[in-house]
Amino acid sequence: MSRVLLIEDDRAVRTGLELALTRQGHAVDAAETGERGLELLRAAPPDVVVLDLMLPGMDGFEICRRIRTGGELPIIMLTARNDDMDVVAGLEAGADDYVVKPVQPRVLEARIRAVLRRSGGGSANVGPPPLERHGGLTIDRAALVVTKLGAPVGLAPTELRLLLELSATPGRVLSRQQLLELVWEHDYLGDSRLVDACVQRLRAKIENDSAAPVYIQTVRGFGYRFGPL
Amino acid sequence: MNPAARLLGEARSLRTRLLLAFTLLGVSTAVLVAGVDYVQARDVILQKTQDTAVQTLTARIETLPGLGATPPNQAELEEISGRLSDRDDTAIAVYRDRRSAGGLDTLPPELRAAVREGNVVWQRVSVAGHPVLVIGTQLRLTRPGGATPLPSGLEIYSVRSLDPEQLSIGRLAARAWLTGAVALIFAVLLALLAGRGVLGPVRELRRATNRLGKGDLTARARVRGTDELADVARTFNNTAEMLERHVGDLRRMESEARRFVADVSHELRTPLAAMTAVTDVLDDEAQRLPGDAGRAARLVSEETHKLTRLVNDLIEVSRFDTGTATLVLDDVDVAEAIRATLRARGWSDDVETDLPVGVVVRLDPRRLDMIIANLVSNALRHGEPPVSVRAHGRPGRLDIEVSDGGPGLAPDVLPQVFDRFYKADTARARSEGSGLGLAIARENARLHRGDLTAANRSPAGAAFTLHLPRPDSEPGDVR
Amino acid sequence: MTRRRLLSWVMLIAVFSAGCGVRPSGVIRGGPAPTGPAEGTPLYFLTGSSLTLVLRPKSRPLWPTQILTLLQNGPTDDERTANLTSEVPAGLDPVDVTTDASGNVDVVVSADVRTLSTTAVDQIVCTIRDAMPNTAAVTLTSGTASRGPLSCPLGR
Repeated sequence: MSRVLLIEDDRAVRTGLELALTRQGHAVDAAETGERGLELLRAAPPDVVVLDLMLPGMDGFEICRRIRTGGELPIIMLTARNDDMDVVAGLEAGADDYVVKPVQPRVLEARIRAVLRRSGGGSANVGPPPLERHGGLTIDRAALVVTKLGAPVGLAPTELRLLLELSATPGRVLSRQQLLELVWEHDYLGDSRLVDACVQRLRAKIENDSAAPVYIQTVRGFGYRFGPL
Repeated sequence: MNPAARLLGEARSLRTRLLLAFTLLGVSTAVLVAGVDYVQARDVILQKTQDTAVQTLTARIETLPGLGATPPNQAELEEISGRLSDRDDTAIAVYRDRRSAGGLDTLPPELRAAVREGNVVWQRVSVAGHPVLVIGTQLRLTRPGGATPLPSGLEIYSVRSLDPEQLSIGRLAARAWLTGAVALIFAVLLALLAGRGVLGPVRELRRATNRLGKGDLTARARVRGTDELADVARTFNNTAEMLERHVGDLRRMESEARRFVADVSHELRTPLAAMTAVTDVLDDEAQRLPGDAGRAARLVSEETHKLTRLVNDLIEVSRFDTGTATLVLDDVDVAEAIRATLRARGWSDDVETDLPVGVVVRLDPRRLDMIIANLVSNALRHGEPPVSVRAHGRPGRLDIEVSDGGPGLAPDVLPQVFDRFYKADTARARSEGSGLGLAIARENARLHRGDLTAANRSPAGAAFTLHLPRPDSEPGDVR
Repeated sequence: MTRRRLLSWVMLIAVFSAGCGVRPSGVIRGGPAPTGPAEGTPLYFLTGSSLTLVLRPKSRPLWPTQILTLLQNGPTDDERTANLTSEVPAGLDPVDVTTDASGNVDVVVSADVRTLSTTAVDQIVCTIRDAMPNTAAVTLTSGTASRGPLSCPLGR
């Protein structure tokens, strides 16, 4: 049973989502403000945070950033509109995924499960030896640890999952849609910006020079590829 | 523009017209004055010369010794002519058909005729290109009888070259030409000066107008002086300022409208979000609720979904209207995307596909999905099978056609089919859709800089074709 | 340039060049012809049928009768080459020329005055007029016949 921290200021939406998530079998902590949410976070650490961006007081982006700095907790954004500004800003602030209000409960449920799968449990691929060396990077697929030149790199669950997927087939180009299905488990038609934002964050953590990436390379017109080094 | 037309255009310009007017005025005045002056001076010179010559001749004739005998013989004629000639004038003494040598070879006949009238006469003639003055007179005799003088029969002619006079007059003419040339230069300078005074403000105004026309609403013309041009410049500035203000107002209103849309969407979606969140609960509990309550619960659940769809559609449409709709582009394999669309809605078995392999187009996948889903759902609902989706990639274009087997679109329906809330079959009062599906589909197509068209196929059925541009593609390019 | 403007330019140039320089003229008339004294003896012969004044070199003053004799002798060869003729008969033979106080001159000739042509009479009258100052009228007499008083048609 997973613990969900829900931060949403509108009472009706909060009540509705809490109801729906509880029926799905999650333990739900609901907070009305960002500050209360951070309190609850410390008091009862959840497995996943569902965060509304439009909050009174400290806004959703700030909360997102704070949660991100605290640890590798998966964050799903709740946004009332899917235009560029909010979604991109939210992804840059560190959110793993987003859903647009009004959201069908089963969609939210699917996203939560997907992101939980990313953070806990072993990798989706079985077979290759657990410890891989790619240049200065070392990837332990069993322990889900990535080190760069010996020092461990703190990756959010989605970032880690993305790296694992790409590095599982080095040199192979994966399109954004493919990555959305593999990593985010969006059944189809995900927002490709999720992939771009995640790649950006990943590069900032593992590349020597994000402007000239070596590990995660962009193949224009096709997608992304791990290496060649 | 060919050079002749350009030259003609230049010729009609303000500067050229001013230049021509000034030049014409200056030159014609100068020419007139100088011309009149010249003509008068020339006449005076000639008259003076002629009168002097006549007087000299007459005086000389009167100093001749008295005529002894007539007719004079050749020697006497020569003597007379010798007495009367000098360096400049050559005299010819004529008695009937006898004459002294020298001077002119032939005396002008009309002069000879005039001489017999008894007056001193003269005439200017041209001899071998040179002007020559010929004076002619009789010599009359006074007789001791006290009677009136009678012609002696002796005629004296004097021939004098007018070359010196020609020279002086020529010099006069040259001076007149020079005056004209100076006047021309002066006129041109004046014209340019005047032109600058007028054209400067005009050009300034034109520049400001151009800038305004290109969209720079801060363009203003410099106001110089107090004449009519300054008035025009001031009026322009006032107009531009009002325009700037109005456009500013409009822009502000537009951004306010957009914010309103955003606010409305939030307001609408929040209660809907709460309701949507619990539709699953309602659905689950509906079967456990007794009779009416269960039906009521299901009803609320269904309608909530519909309301959500309608609100989403409305917000999409309003975004198109306010211009806030944006494309989230990705490189999409068209065949894969279409197949995914069909698969997600469970239509894979009901729809035939003819899709190219490996055609990747840069577009917004969510919007493409919306378009295809709407077209296919319409085809499945309103049309007869077979429903098919055909995609065809061409250089620079991608066409996706969704067609059905009948009955097609009635001719009066065809032009209105993309209108908002237009439902072809009024018998179906409220169908699944919101009535905005096709309108949104076409807006999505146009957002990609493509279009969506509807037509009837032969022998039967309707075909909706989505046209999308592919700016990066080349002929034979698999991409 | 519009056609009208072009035309006006051409006209200007034409006018200007037409007035240029010294142009030939027609006959210009001035004052009366100069006069000079007649040194010789005036006689009146004819060119065709018009009276023409002719001068004969004068070595000494001549009597009127002598002048008439010159007249009756007719033009010299030189004068004849100048187309001068006379109708005064060679047998005029002037007898006497008298004048009274009021300038009436009486010319007595041997030839019958009635046979003289009017032109010849004019010749004689004019010659006498020029020969004698202050002549008022001239009468030709031969015997009982007379013609006159006459005055010279040429001048006064």
